[in-house]
Amino acid sequence: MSATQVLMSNTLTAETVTAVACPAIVTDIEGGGYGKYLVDESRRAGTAAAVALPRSTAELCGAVLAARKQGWAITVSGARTGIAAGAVPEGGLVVSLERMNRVCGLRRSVTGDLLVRCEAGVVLGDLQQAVRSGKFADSATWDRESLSLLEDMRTGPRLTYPPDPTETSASVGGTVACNASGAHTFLYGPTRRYVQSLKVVLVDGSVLDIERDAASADENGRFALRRSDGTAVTGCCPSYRQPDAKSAAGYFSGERLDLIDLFIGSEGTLGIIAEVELRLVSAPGASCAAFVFCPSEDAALRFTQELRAVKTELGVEAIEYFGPRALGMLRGRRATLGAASGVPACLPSDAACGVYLDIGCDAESLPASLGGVAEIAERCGSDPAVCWSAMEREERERLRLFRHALPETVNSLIADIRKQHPTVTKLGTDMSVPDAYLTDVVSLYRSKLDRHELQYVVFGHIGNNHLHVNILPRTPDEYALGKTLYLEFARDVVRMGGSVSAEHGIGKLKVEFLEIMLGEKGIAEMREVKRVFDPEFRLGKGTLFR
Amino acid sequence: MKIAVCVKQVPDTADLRINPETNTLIREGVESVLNPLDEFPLETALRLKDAIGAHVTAFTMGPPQAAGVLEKAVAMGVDAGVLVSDRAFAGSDTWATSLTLAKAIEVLGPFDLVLCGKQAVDGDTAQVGPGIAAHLRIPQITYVTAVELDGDSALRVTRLLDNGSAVLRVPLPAMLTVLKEANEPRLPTISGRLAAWRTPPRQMSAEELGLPAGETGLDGSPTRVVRIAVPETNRQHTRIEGNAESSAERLLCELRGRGLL
Repeated sequence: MSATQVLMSNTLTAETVTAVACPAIVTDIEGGGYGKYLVDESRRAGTAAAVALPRSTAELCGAVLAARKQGWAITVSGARTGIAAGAVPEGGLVVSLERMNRVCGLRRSVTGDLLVRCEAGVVLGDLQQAVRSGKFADSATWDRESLSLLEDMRTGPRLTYPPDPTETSASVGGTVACNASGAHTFLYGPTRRYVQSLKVVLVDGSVLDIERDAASADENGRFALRRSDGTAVTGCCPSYRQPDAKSAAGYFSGERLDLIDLFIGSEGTLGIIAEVELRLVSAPGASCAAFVFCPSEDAALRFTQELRAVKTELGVEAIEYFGPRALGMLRGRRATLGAASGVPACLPSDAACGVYLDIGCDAESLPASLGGVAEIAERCGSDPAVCWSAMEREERERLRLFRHALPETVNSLIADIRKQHPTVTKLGTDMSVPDAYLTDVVSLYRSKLDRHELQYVVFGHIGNNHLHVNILPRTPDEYALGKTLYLEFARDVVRMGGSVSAEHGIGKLKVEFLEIMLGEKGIAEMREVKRVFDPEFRLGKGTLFR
Repeated sequence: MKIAVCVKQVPDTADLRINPETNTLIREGVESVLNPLDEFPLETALRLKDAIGAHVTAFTMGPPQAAGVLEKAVAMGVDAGVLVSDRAFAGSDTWATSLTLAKAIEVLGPFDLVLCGKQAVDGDTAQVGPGIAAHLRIPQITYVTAVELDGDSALRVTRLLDNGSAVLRVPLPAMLTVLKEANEPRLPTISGRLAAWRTPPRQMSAEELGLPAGETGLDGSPTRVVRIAVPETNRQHTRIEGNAESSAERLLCELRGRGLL
């Protein structure tokens, strides 16, 4: 194959879509009640000259062209549920995709999977509910193929869209832009695994349609983009290796990188995701949740590692950890608030820590799966006779309230501290390490935090070696110390081959950590990729890059 | 001590719909669950089991799928489940139901204590517990909020009254209906769930109970449902909105205005 052929086979073509004026571009942000577009769940507040609310890809292109004319930076805004400030604007135009919320139809992929196509502003929870029930609000406008597939969907085995970030009010576009993950990522992988195609509006107003397996970089990482005016732009994928751990940090990389993967997780800095096509998979026929109480942290780690080895066999969808201090905090909440605490009275008094599990499999296999879990738990020193299991809605709700009680307690403790020290905030980490380093990272967290006698809890996605450390500083001095430790943890985790952000993304708040992880060379390579798609660095200003 | 707990399968109240033509509950496509008010007598029984090693059996009367509630009872820690099920029981009113359950308890007995929930959330009659006690000819105490052992063959029971409570001593055997104020039910355990899956409930038919045809089901039911109506709700309500401070102020005003404070 000649060099030219290689280049051509790896070329993406951006087409000009007839842009139409976006009627809803407002400049009176505060007066018009548009202040919500300046903030997200990170609680950081930004500034903007205008907000656009396009209702279609053509209007989105119109808004992008209007921004170009004005020389505005563009910040994409989904449902603003992110906590890394990715949606917080640093001037220019905010493009909110909330009005682009149509589910467009269904298609069968060449491999036989059912694909659902929707606009970026569709709310994740709504999409999941529609897939579960087979009822789509927009189906009256669908083509014949989609309707026929919908009929198959309703009469066939149950399907599901597995990505389960905690915040189901997130927009689908936002979850793709951040490669969102959740507890079930342990078994099903992150959002990336389910994205079949994307429609991306580039900063020059042209539109890129990218399908998985259709365009990839060559063996040297080179790829080419042909713009709508016919000019070719070539680029090179980053050469750094992805951590062997769950990661939402920086542009994706890899050998012969599928170009769709560059856009997934790019946090709105390479293009604006306008439409997505997502792969649905068979839903497990039966499910059960369990809460296993462990006699020690070491026992919980051993339990996790043993479960990991048989996760597919047993259908273990999620493994979530509640460290000793987390359980202690929940016991304190029960003592203060009683039954209203959400902490069941039957919480065993002698348990050191707890591990929450979701199990999903065929109905016939469920007894064997839960039996398998019980056997491993017993081997690791737990007593299945005091460990909880939940199947009915009400039982699951009680477990949900119990799990939710932890962040609620953390938040109320921090709120109390802030009454006296308003500058203090919770410090929450979001780092992951490869499987082999789980024990190391847990003992590292414990030893450093205990040495400094800080108030903290450790909990989260232990199945993915992705534990959240929440430091609750009681004074501004402890806050400063906590920040230093946070930076130290980032360096330690990178040394272990992990990621500085496993799921929350880098946004504007963790740029320093990304630099620690990728180094100057890695960041320079990311800049080169950015330059191909956004030469003036107008998209997602302040996100990923300083 | 041998304890019998009577439980019922009801539609999950989170998804309750009424057929507008027949005014009956739509049960199709609605998940069935253990009557939430039956979790409290179950917890009472399990606490007695924890304290003195009582043997607890859960009874339910219903179609084969009602076995699901026994699975939950065993998952919570009950020792055995009994499904009283026969086509002959179809159409039973509260008289026939309590007679049938009483008979099953008698056949597998004797039991020292029979526990029931206050009522089932679908029928809302609160008659079956007392009915069982009457058929078994044992004492009954309803609206129970606390149970303590009083020697080997009696209980000290707190009963909720309109304006307070009464503490009673009751010799065993006895039947109690237990209120939600009595305890906080435990969650099912992994071991319990596995035990429930391993050992299906014991089934009892009309023949095994020795009940003649005319005493069960529709034929054995002296009452008939003549008409079902959806109650009209005409309660007035005022919504207080605003921040916590002004809402609290308004609420205080309202309560004082009505002479309630």
